[in-house]
Amino acid sequence: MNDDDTNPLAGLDLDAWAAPPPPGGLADRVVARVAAIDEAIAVVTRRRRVKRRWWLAGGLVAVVAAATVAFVVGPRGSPATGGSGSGTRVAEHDRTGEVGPETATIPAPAGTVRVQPGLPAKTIERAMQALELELQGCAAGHKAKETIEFTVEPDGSIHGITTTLTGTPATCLERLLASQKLPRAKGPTRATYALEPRPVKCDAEKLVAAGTAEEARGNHTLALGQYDAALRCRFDNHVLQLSFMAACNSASAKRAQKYWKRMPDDMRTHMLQICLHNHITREDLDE
Amino acid sequence: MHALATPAPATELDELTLRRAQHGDERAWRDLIAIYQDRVHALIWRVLAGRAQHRAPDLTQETFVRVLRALPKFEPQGSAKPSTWILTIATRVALNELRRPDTSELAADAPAATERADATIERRRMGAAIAAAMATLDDEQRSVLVLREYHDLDYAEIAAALDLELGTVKSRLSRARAALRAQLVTALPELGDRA
Repeated sequence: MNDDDTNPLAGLDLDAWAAPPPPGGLADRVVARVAAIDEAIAVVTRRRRVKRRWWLAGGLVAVVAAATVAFVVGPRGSPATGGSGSGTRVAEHDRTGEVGPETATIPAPAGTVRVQPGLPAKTIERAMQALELELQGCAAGHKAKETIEFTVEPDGSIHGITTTLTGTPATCLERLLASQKLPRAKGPTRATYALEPRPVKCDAEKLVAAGTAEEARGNHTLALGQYDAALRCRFDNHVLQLSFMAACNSASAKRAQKYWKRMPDDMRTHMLQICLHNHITREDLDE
Repeated sequence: MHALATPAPATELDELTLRRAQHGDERAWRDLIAIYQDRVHALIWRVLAGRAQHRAPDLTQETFVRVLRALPKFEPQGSAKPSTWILTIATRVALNELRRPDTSELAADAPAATERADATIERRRMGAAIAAAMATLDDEQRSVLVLREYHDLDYAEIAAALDLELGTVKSRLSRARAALRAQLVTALPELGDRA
């Protein structure tokens, strides 16, 4: 297999170039770091589960309260008085005049953007087109058209995000939009985007497994590609963490920043160390 | 098989300990680190030859963190031995470090003197000459050479470790050996006389 017969180094004492021994206490430090990473991931997962339980409990209480109010108030609570069911919120915005007569309608690949004058409609259209895969990843598997409303502030930041989605998909989508920066404009712009259902043709679990295999080989850039595809396929907080770790390990501050901006604060606290260890600072991430 | 350099001890973690480590047994993790740490540190230190060698301890730690996190996915019945798999990760960690802008711009350090107390003057000169010559090779050539000459990986294992074609490994190794030989003969002319 190895044709070393003509090796020009044959007979040379290559061991004369001796490596120093590894530092003492290596195992302790490695075990501590692995435990810290596992704990960070576990803490975030636990918190999400607890939050989810509160959501369920809160939802149940809200349903009971709404049923009670409906029973007591009766037919007076009609939609014409401006009730605020989440499914009709978007239409009401239109009726209140926030989207005026000069509203533009822009066809998008999987939806429609309507904007007020302010930031050019094309600019928002392009931004939403660029985000389409990530948006679909947030809303993975949604069966009906979902609506997203947001305001682009004059400095290009996005605020006032409302959506017909709920739970994790809504949180994912809000964080995704809030992490974006559009061009500056003279005034705020209110936009509505309709997210059409899309058949899911990808397998997020397979992509994550492929990413983990690349990570195991120390190939962080390839791993990051797989994790990123998994996030676009179906958003998951754990995959967001894996993507962040791979971006830090591949010393890509820009990519790490992208995931950092989508992380909740509690997750950030635990994940920061990984980037710091790879010489990517908090300032780089917040930039 | 040639007898250029004494290959690193061929010890592998026993299968039972490996299985325990895969299931997160901390004692098994420590056994794994104890068995492979010398080889991993030496590999990283040599691949970083002349540049950022002070980072070798940190990168050794980083390698084992990655190894332990990826360990559940390692297939003991697969084609790679644990040592080859771990050295592959270590090589990539070291090469990633060399690709970092702040590291890749570093000029080659003066070769680090790492002689042992019992080393003869001749051996020390040889060690310093190899260190200097290694530092002049490009990173890919040096990685192939270190994996072959110091860690005894065969061509197929090196190809898998570095994601290279077998032919590329052979040509790269051949060029690296010739370049190292030429550098050594320039630094130590008596080597040319011996050839």
